[in-house]
Amino acid sequence: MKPSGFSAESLAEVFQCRRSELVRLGAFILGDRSAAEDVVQDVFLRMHQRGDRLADVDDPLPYLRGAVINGCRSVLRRRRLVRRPAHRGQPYPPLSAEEALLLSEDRRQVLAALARLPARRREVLVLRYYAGLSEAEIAATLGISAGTVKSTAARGLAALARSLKESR
Amino acid sequence: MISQDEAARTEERLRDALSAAADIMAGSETAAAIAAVPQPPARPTRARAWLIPLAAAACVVAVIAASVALVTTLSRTSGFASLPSSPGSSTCTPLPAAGAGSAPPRFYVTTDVAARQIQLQVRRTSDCAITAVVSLPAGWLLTGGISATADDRTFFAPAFSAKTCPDQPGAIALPHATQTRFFRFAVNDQGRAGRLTMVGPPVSGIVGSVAVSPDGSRIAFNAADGNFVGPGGVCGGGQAEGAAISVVDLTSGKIRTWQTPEMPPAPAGTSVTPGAVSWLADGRTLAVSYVWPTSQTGPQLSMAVAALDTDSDGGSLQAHSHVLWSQPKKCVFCVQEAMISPGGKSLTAIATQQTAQGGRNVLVQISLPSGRYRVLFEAPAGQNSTSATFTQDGSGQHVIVVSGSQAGWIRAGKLLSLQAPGSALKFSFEITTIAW
Repeated sequence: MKPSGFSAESLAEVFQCRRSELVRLGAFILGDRSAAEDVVQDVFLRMHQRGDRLADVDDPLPYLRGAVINGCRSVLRRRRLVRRPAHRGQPYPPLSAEEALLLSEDRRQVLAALARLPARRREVLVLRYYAGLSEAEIAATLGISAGTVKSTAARGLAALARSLKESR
Repeated sequence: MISQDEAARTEERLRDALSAAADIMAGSETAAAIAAVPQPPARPTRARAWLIPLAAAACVVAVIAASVALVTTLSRTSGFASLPSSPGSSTCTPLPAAGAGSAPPRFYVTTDVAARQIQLQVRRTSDCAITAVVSLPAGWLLTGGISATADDRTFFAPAFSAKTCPDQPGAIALPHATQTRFFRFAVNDQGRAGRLTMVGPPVSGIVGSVAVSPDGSRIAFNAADGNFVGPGGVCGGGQAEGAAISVVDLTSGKIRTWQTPEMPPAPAGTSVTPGAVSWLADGRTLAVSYVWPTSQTGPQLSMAVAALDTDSDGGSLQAHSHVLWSQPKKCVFCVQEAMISPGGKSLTAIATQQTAQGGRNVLVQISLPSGRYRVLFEAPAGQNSTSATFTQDGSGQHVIVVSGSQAGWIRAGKLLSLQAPGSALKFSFEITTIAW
């Protein structure tokens, strides 16, 4: 799904409108906001340097989500953190102490439980419940079948529920 | 496996936690990117206010210019720099101990460099701390014009959807504003924000000055910034309708519009351009300020304020309004923008006072019965800005002045900063992006 036909102005517009959303997506997957910013930066920088063009794509967001998730996976691989909790050694969600105070204890527990999930399950749950994607859209973004999305989401939710029960 | 009920509960908790964390994160994560964007175009001064009808186009150009600069910067930086705290920028002034005068609203809503046009921040007046961040749905961009009800707790913000015309692809595909919607949210005693709700019908084009009625049931706005209503809309080559004042009734969804081609005391045949709108406490009378050129060869303007009966059916502004105040031909304090007090006894106005050193921004109160001026605040020498605007609270007693990239409220002739350390209140558009 290589995009084509988008001007620099349009790329900038997409950057302006979508950067925050993409950074948050990356931050939830990586548990690290600055790393997520770097990933999103790299995605746009590569597109700009290569002269990627997006005009023929009605909605560039799916492509960008996929690129960001791939970038996040690279980061996880580099850290050798695949299949390991993304938040080990650092707080999750990636908020400052002041910001974390704005989250209720219940929400912090939910997010901590999410961080303990394997990367693939976390990706699916974040795409489903943060980005609001359908199973088909998640499948296209992650390059897996819809069936795999469904089963991964179910297992992820079950693991999350169990983790929350145990932390009570 | 888990039960369906448990799965549903877990889904809901997860969705809620992600949404809350994202809202909190959003406030700061965009700061670095915007550090690269150049200073936005200044708000039209009185001397340039004849350009107001072109403001919609200017907004589009500003977005493009900023975007191009952003891409240029992207190409030469390997990482995002932190947003530098601007040298000389003021920091939040702690709330003075209770003394003369009533207390200001406890919270104000704004959007800053970090929040850009996609988020609203609720901040505490006492220390400027963010108590809540409200994000617009994807695809919507704030146009400014934040407005609050009389109780200072319910806020409205207009946003437009920036879409590309399908028949104008490629490099000239400008993000035309095709639709404006109004968003509403409430703030509680702790400064937490309630759910953001889209209210009222869509409005074509970008709206200008916005004022919500004291009870929150009506929204008034001027369409001087280009209300594209011609056949086919923007992309279809529709022409901008003439300057007008519109009121949206949120209960019925009805929009009434009063056209403003001519208004007294402007000479016959001279079109006026509406500016700020503000409500009287009765929720029916709307004060409309408007300007008109006094010279075809230069940007000299005159200005007046009229009271519009918004219970009328729409049509001609002239037929349904009467003039409350007009600028003297030789003005000492030359008013740029005025809002009426809820009681209707006075106008609060940003004016330019000509001095030997040039123009100085002054906030004045004009008594409507007597026409006398009282200076509320003078910009200190050397801190004058060509871009100054203001907004007032529901009582009309507490005024926020935005001058350049600084914002503060006026107390006993002093400007008490509403700017948290490290926060840069640089506004993308000339219209008000702060309210209480």
